[in-house]
Amino acid sequence: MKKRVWALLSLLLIIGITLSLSVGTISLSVTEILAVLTGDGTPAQQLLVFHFRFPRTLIAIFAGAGLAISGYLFQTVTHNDLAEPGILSINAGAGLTVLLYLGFFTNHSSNNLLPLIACSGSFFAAFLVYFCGKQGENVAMNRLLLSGVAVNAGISALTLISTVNVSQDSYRFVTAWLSGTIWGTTWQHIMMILPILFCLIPFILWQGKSLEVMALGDKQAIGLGLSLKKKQLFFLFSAIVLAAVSVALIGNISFLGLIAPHLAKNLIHQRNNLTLLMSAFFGAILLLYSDIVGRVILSNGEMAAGIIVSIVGAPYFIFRLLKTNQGAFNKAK
Amino acid sequence: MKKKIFFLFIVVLLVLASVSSLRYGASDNSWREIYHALLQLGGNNQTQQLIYYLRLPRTIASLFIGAAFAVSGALMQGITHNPLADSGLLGINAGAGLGLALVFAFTNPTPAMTMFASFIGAAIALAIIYIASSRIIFVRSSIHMVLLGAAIGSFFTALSQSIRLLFNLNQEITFWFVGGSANVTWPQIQIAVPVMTLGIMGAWLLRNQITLLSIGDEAAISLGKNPQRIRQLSMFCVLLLAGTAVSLVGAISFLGLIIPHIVRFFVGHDYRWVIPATVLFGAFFFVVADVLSRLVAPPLETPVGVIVTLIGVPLLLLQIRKGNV
Repeated sequence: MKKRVWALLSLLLIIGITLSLSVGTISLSVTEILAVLTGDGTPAQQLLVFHFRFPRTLIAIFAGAGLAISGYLFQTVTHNDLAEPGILSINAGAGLTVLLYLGFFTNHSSNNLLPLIACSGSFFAAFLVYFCGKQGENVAMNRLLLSGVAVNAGISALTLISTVNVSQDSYRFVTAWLSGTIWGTTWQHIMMILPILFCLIPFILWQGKSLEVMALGDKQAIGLGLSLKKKQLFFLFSAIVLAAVSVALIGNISFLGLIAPHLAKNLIHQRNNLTLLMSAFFGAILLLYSDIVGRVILSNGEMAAGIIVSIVGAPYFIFRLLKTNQGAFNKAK
Repeated sequence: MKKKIFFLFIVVLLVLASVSSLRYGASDNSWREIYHALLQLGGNNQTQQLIYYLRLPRTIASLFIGAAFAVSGALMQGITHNPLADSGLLGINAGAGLGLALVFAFTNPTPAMTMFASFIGAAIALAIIYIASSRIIFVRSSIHMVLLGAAIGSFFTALSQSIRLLFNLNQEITFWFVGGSANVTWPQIQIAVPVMTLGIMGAWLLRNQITLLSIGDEAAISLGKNPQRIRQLSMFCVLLLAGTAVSLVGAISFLGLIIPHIVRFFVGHDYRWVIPATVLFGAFFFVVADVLSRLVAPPLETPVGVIVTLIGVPLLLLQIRKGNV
């Protein structure tokens, strides 16, 4: 059963990659793509595939996976099904600093400092959300989410206001970024995100056992001898970094970190490393297909992938909100 | 006594703000010019034209829009027992935006049509909120309500963004999405002002019942009132106010949230005082924000919605931090 799921996911991913390489203003057939991959295509086709579509596809996959893992970590550590980087304003924080940096300090979007800049904004936003949401020792998750909504609104307003002083080009960039267009589409951008993913993900998987224990509940985790505070800090740190670098390249995409882990958790009932990996798979596939759909719907330009993710994700969020709360309420009764 | 001083103070401030709103902007005029332009409405000289066609409609619209958002916030807070109720936070503005995007996509709308479309959109969002608010969990937790509103808001926003892109509407409604009263014209005002006045009058008529509801449904029932009926009437007023205001100026969030809270600090919780104080203070606040939007980075305009949000968010965060919500 499980094997079939993995096979299906891999198949979906391969179909997605093929579609992503072929679909666009100039579409290529499968045989043409194969020709290009073996080096037999026309120079124009070679350029199109290797220089534009292939990096873009990879970014969608990596960043989607990054957001999904981030969402999974947030949900497990906070024991709240509605936690995800978008609503906790981690995305918005990264966005603001990236925009300020690109708008005022440099024009080179392929700068190696970019991930660092994004992380600084995310950590700032996360700290603000945490600071406003906590009440003494008692951190109520829903209060954190509320303060996330508020910080999100504030940061978006700051983002907009800072565009008043930037050039026309930067303004266009900002609006595209806010709606979640995959814009980091060169090999340099891939080199920015890849090392971080390759350092963090194995480390997270290596710590997978403690994540599994944490999923049981804070008290049980301490009872089983887990140094809870330290581990929580590590996982939250990783979650913020993963979300920040992803969002720095793909723009403001919410709800992805919510949906992907939920899909995985519905298929695998134990919470272990496999669940985490499957979340990453789902994240990659969702973002890849959203990007493709965005390219297909609009023939003369493109629809941001973030818009598509929101149209699917927001109703799902509402569904979860109604469902989990009713359950919690019944339990409380 | 304290209340009377507050009202007097606010009226004076309101007059000062409105007059400044006529004077300051991209082109600076002297008081004398303003005075003459007002005496001779629609005169031929350039300043008189500027005042009549740009500044005056804008000022009038700002006054009513501020009042409308603030009162709709106060009404919602009163009937849902939710201190976080605001047409922006609950996704009603986004619903109105969707209606507007649709009407721009398929027709070349008149002011009346845009207003009607944003009504319909706001009504849909409000209906979802209304249905949800009867669920026990949302009655108990205002935070869940806001999360629901945020999700509804981002759904409607995503839909209207995609409509904008599909039909290439950027030119027509970009000003609207960032929120700004710069483009208000006299024909719009002729329709919008009567509707908003109607909404404010409705709120005034409902003031006693809402006070009862904010004490609790039992209080209303024991006095022979029907809480559900009061809620429906109030929702209708919210629709008139928020729908119209959004169609004029765009998605302004946080105004409806903060104004009633500030006002309650001065006049207490009785809606007999809250409603008029919210009207005046909301109008004052929005006119000031609108003037600021012209003065922050002249000659460009900073979207007024952004300014209101930047004032509102820290106040909300402070409330969350203190544990008041």
